[in-house]
Amino acid sequence: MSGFGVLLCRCNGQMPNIDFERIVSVLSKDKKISSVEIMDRLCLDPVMEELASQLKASGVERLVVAACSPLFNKKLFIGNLAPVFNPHFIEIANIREQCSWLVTDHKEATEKALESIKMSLAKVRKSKNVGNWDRNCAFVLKNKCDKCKRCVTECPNQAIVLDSEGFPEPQEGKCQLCGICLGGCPLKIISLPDFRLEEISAMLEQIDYSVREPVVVSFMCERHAYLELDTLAAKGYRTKANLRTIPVPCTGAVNTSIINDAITFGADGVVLVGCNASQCKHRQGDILAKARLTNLQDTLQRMMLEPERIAYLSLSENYTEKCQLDIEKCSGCMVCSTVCPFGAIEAQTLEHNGEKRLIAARVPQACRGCGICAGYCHSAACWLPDSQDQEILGLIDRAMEW
Amino acid sequence: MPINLEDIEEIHLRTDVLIIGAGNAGCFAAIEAKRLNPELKVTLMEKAHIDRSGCLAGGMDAINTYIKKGRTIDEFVRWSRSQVGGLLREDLTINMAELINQCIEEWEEWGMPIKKDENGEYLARGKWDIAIQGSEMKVILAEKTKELGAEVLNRVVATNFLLDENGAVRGAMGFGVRDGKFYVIEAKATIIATGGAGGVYKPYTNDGNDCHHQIWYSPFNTGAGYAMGIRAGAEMTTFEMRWASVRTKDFNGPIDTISVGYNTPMINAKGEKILQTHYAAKGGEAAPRYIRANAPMEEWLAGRGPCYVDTRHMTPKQIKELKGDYLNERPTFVLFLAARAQDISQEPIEVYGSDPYIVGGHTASGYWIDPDRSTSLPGLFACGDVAGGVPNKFVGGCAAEGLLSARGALEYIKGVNGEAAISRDQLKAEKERTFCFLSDQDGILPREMEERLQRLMDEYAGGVHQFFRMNEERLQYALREIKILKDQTKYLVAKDLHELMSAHEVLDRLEVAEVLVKHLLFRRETRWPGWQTRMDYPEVDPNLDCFVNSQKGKETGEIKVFTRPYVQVVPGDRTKP
Amino acid sequence: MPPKVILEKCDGCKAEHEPLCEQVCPGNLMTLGENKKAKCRDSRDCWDCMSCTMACPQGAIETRLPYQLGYYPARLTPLMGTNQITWTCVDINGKVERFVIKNRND
Repeated sequence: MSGFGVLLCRCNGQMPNIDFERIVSVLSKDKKISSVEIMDRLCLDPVMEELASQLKASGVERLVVAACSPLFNKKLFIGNLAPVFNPHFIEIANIREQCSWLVTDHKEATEKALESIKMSLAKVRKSKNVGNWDRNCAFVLKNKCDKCKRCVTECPNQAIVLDSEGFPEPQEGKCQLCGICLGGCPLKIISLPDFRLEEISAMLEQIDYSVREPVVVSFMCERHAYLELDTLAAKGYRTKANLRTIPVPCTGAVNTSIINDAITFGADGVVLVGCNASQCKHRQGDILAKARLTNLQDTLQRMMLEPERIAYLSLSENYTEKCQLDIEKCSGCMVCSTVCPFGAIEAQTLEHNGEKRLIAARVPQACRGCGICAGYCHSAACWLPDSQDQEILGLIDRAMEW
Repeated sequence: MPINLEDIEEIHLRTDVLIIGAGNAGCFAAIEAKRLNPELKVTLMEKAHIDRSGCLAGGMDAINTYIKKGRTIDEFVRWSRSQVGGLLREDLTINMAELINQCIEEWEEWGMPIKKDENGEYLARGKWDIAIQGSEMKVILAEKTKELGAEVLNRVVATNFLLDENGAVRGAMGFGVRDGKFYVIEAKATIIATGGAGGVYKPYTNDGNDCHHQIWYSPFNTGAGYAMGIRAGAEMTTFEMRWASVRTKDFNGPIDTISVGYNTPMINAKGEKILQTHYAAKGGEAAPRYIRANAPMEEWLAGRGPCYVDTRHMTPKQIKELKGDYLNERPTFVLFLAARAQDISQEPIEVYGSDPYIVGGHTASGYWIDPDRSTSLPGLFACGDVAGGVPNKFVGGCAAEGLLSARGALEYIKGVNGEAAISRDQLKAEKERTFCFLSDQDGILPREMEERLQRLMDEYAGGVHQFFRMNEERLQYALREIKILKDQTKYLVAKDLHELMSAHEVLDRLEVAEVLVKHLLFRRETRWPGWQTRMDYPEVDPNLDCFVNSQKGKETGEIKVFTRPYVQVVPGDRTKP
Repeated sequence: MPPKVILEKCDGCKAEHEPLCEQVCPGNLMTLGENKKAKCRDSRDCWDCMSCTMACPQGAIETRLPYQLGYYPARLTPLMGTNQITWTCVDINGKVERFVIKNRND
């Protein structure tokens, strides 16, 4: 078994609540880890390739980079490390957004970071070419396939055709690597180039479920939910939940067997977080995921477990805040409802101080936060929390300075 | 309307090695054949699906023959011999035992978990047994078989061997139970690995509702391999050494898991330890298998039943482990205990005899073979439960025989030249014989005949309701009625392909039953009470210290029964371990 | 031992091909019914090996014991992981027992 290495990044002091010394001390005790390095700013460090060679020379074959979110700098890190290391043997552990920023308490944040690194080590340890590294698309292990054709039916891009023997063959180019085929395969024989069920299961096994507070495992779709969580963490949002997050290409890529593994290992709850209906980038990932969860909830009930332990949580696709109405200022002229392109404004009669008034009420579900209504409002009654007039003026001022 | 044979599509295939039955032995045979010669075309003909076919459908919780460190093959031969009244093929046992460990170790490498003790050695569960977690073992074996490139024909039922003009086996014929086609597979060498025969006798839980297949053995192993061989004139051996054993009552499930694994003695209703008290003279706890297997039935007859395996001393941890073992082998046994809210530390598990099976993995019944696993038919090799002469093979031994038969087949192929001369008439006759039952006309349903045969055998050929007892008159009656049933098979009707398969299962069971009764008649002694209890010949006859074999004349249909002498290789008293 | 198909959960494996239970049953007993959902063609002939129950991706099959053998309503449910199974057994009095069995080495 090859040596493992861990590259920790301090992110230029952006992770003040992580006890790096403790992390180094714990990791150094693991005999399989040949090297642990701490950098100050890995992304700006010009010597990443040299560092990589040093690590390789000291026996490291598989590497975990513990730094900012993979959605932030994964391309950069892999790009610089890949000449030396096999990119399939490099894993990014998100210790910034999801550990340091999401969790206030020093001790908890450090423990979560440590666990995150262990999970990434487990994934990279299990990484193996079963044929899935050979092409940039989904891969089916044909000699175990029973030709049930579920993957062919469920693929949102019709990217899976049948070969001459009737086995499914995902097509490079058409395949969007969403993993929906992987999520539905009852024989668990489909994998993506860097996503295999055995790897995810190994990550789940690393989590310490014996801690007092309930541990919730979440599978978040990379495009939206995981990004949203990173964004919220950056904005200062904190969670009380004892959350362990695994990014997935789409919630439709979550195979029931790994939810079952999480429950078997001891997770108190499992959530799939992804897009809302009709907003899934992969068309039906969320529908399939929800259907699987519904069936699993029934199974949990038969097993005398609470079905509420597993859930699907949707995010709306737009991150901008909805337009808010200041009822006091609204004159009821309804100009905004004429110009709203989304039909998100409707007339409503309001009882206010004994008199009846017409106001332009917002329909939040339809509102896309475009702000056109705010542009037309004479009464300064519409406002977008993210884009106050003052903010925008300020941005323009600064732009003029440059 | 009877079907038109011309309308039935034919699939003609050619292969180097045809393996009939993709169970444990068949898969190992395929794996070995492909390993020895990857260029070889190896085809498996399987009536179900290779992933879960045969006896290992639910898995296994132990390997009951493994030569542990410190034990020798000679020891195994002596022990195995003593368990069957001294009657087995020592040459076959020895070369099987040489390979048995390898199969299990390879299985572990392929992914099957084996329990280990604190030293990292395989956890011993008895003298020759180790504990495994085998609920996925068949799937793992199937994967390896497919990985090595063996061609698997799932849902194809074999009906008869293909014979050339010299009577050598050159493949097999059958039908697709899903596609309804007639399959003709020509092969240079053929390995028969279809397992044993269950459902020849009536199980005691079978009472018209849901329990028809509540038996210990796989009810889908219906003796097809035996029947095909019998029809082709192959020599069979020791059918009379039936496997009729004590099993858990009602559920008819495995009992060795408990008795061997958790040291539970058999007790009767009075609380007496049966073997120590009433069978002390026969060896007590160390009494041979047929004594232990039959004891509860004798106790019941004597008025001292019900009998149990005494689980009352088990700790909660042991009970949990025991249930875990069953979940690896027959998971619904755990459900059975739950469905009675039975706490086995308070209420011991009741045991009772099962309906008899013909199974070469447990006793010596099956094809008469040579050490290279060749049968008396040239070109045909046998392995696993269908092959005779080696009792106490169990899972490991059947796997080892798979390897041996592959080696034998590959050696045989070297001398096979050119194409076989197979008459068109043979194909036509078999196609007719295979599909003739498909009809919506008036007739006998396969189920009806199956039930009639089962009760006939039970009452007249020593079934469980008769406490395995038989005599000359009853056996002769059974033989007479079997002959009538065989003639009556021309009236069988099947409404669909599944029922057609059932019809052939009845045909095959009848073939096995006929030979079985002939064997039971011939052996006029009681060498293994329970397995064969002749009320009219209750003692051991030293003149029958030999093999009882049989061969059916292809043209005459006459079954000749004769003896073959015992050949001792490992010295010592054959009735003592 | 009738395998009971929970119709609300069964989707007939999309009915594109044979459903998985039909593919795997050693006794050729599972098949697609007229409602395009799985059904057991003859529950008398079931051996209760539970291959169908474990194979079903929707968890839509329950293997039961015949009434001859066991009282109602005991239940045995497998939760299929990647290389382990969590079995839950509920007896007729509602007592729950769980077992985790690893069934494959990685």
